[in-house]
Amino acid sequence: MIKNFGIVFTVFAAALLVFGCSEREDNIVRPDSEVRDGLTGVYIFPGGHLAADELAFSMFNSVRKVPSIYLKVYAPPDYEPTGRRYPVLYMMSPFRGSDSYYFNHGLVAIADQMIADGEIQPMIIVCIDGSVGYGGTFYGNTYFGGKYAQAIGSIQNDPISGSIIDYIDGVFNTYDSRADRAIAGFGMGGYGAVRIAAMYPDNFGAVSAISAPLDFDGAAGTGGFVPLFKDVISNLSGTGSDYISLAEYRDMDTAYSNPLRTMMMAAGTAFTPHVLDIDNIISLNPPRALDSTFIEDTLTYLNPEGNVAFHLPFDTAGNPYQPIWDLWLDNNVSSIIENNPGCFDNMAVKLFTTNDDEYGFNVQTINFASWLQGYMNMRGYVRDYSPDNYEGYEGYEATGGRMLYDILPVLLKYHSDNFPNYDEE
Amino acid sequence: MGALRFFAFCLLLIVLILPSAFGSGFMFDGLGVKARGMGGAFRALADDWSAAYYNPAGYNLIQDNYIAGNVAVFHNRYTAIPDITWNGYESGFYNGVEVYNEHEVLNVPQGAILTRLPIFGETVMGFSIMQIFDQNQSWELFANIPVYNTSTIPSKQFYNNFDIVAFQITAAKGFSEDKLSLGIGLSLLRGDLYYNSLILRDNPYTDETNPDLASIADRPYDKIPEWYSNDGMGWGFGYRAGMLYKLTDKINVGVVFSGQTSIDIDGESNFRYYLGDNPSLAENFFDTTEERYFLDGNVAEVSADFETSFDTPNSIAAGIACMATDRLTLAVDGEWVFWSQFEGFEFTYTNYEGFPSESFGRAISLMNTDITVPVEWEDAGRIMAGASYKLNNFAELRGGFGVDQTALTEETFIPQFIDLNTKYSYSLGVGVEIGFWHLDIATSYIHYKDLDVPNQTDFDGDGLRDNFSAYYEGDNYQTVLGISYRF
Repeated sequence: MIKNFGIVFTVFAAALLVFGCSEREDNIVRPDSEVRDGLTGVYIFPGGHLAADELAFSMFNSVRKVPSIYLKVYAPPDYEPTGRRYPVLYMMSPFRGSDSYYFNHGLVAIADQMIADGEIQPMIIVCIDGSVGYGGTFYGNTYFGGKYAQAIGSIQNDPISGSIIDYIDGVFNTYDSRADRAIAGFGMGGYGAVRIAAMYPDNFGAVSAISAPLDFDGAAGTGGFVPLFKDVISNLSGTGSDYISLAEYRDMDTAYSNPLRTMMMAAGTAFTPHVLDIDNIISLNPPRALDSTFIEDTLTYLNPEGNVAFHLPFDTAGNPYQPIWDLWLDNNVSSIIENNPGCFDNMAVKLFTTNDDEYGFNVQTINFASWLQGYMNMRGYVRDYSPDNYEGYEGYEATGGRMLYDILPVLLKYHSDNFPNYDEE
Repeated sequence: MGALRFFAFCLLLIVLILPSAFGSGFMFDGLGVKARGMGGAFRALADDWSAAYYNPAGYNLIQDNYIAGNVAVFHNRYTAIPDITWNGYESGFYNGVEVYNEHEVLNVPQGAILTRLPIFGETVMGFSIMQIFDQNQSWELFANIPVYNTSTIPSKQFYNNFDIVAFQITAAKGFSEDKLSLGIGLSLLRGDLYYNSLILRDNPYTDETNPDLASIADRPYDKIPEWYSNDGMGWGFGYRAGMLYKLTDKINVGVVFSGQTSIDIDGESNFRYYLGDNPSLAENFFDTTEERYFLDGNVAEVSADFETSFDTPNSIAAGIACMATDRLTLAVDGEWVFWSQFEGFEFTYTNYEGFPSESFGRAISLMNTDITVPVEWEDAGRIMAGASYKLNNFAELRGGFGVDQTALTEETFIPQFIDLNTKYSYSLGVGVEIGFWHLDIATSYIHYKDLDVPNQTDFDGDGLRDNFSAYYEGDNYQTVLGISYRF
């Protein structure tokens, strides 16, 4: 019996040790150490794309003398100059953001990883600098302010001096159908994306925007930018007063010490430029914007150079100045969409917001989503444009571009899903 | 009342008095092969060398000179499924993945020698070396997300190898014709600590108002991973006192108290800070600036000296044993450990080396910070029941069962201290006597109830999380081998 028990116990103990202590194969998928290093494989064009003045766009340019649009291009890891073709996503930079903006927020790592994981199909991503002038072009489309919308979104069939699309399709292996082209952006870039998609719906199949100024005045005409006008004035007074003198108004400092003010100036150059001396537009060296001279006919003029100027849509009390404000509202995307009926009938639209938006662009986006839903419903399309919201977390509010790293994967996936899937063919 | 019925009554009484009295923390269980075979119910028997731990008074029952050695072989088998995000945003932890602790089969040798000396009549004296506290597990739970430096973080990211070994002198003496035995053990304690962890610190640029500088802390650079290791040792003193009383010829009761002590530990520390790798944004800053330092994918390596202290908890235990028949012995123990006295570690650092440029104030303030590992533990108990059966004059079978409460709470639960939850231990053992030699083996399987730690907490309000959100599972396997020689 003892012997039998000894055998049973020994077998039991041995089995417990062998099976209980066996090594388990770990389930961890460690990050791929082959992730591309830095900006390898990112195409940078030092001179930007030079579009011919008359053909594509002309621009009021207080910083540069060359009417160029700078861009930086992400090509997928397997990109070969003579290889297969890819769909293209155009990404517009936000106010004060350069063509590096999305790269600064992990674009290469995110796209590479998602392509490697099969979450998105390989695509070319063209990041466009919209930061000229007072920090932003607003992708406007005026002769003196710059025809950025046309320069980016049109098709001129001239890769040398035509539009950005011409240039990209000429330089890279791209699919050139509407469905293979999408446009997106954050903040001012989101406004540019929606604007350009609405202006050139035959050239883009999908658009997305993140917390963008998509509703300048709100449903009641008192939202959007309107409350910001008084913020600019009260900041300028230095006393918190809601009124400033004409002299103060004319001598607004264009430095970036107050981003809200310079953003208004940037929009002014885009939407309501004013040129006094067209011959000197690009001859100033160095360009100066602070040297106010005189504007006598109306309070709403700001004359930074004496030869070019722009109008701001508010008066010295921060109230909308209707003649100019109406011109701004013509640039409201709802106006552009209404002026181009059917432009979004076949457009995939995706909206995002961040919770803590300094200038209330998130609210503008929400209002636009609501308006677009109603508008499209009126046109016979029942669609949900409700934005995805990103809150940040305790101690880390979702201000500025903080959450882009989290939004970009969703945005890329959205556009990838809307591109034709060539792998399935 | 027959002895068996009395024993049953006592057993019932203990169970009623200690309805939730099962407890452990990270006391080491692999002490004494006979005790382990009986599930740890040994305080009222205490008739081998391990009485130095279970009940020093038991030495009085050992008639012979005695030398013994044990080795405990054990394997801790845990699983964690991390769930750590910042309000749903990626953090770099292997969320949703079953991660196993590093595979290791560990062994702990221990033993004792004892003899009867003609002191105060006759006193049994012994010297034993035994490991009374142990934690040893290592985890790899995190990987830098690709936009950080891709340098590998050491696999022992969350690691705690904490041992306290007691070098104990035990004395026991009998009174009233050995009806009452009293014993005391005085020990020199050596604590060895190797503690690693990984914390995510706020990027100092998070508070910047200048948007160009604030963008340095845009996600995912909002957190800077800091891995650190502390390797040190220290000494302290401890004691335990026991009483063993023969109620009848067949029934013993034992009571043991173990006193709190503090061990100061010092040693060397190493820190690594994995700074962001953002070449695109880095281009905006000059090479020598601090901004550039935070964006160039640097791994800052800093070293320092550290000090900390560890307070061992008081414990009190009682047991009752019944020699039900000539062959069968039954025993039940209960123990209560005052784990609330353990307050974790406060690491203080001095003599830093490896800081970057003195002008990099943000970097230095990031790296020049003491670390606290706070714990909010609760007193906990455990109950153990065991039996031994003499097959004949040479061989004995043993079996036991134990239920332990956990001392840990969700608020400060971290994978370095892994007493997950209530645990159940099942033990079997056998002993063979061959002349003066005893050979013993006991094996135990210990199963933890699963634990879900759903929420992150900042227990001490220092801005760092003090627990580790995950779903945990755990089992231990333990085999103790023993050999002794009585002469």
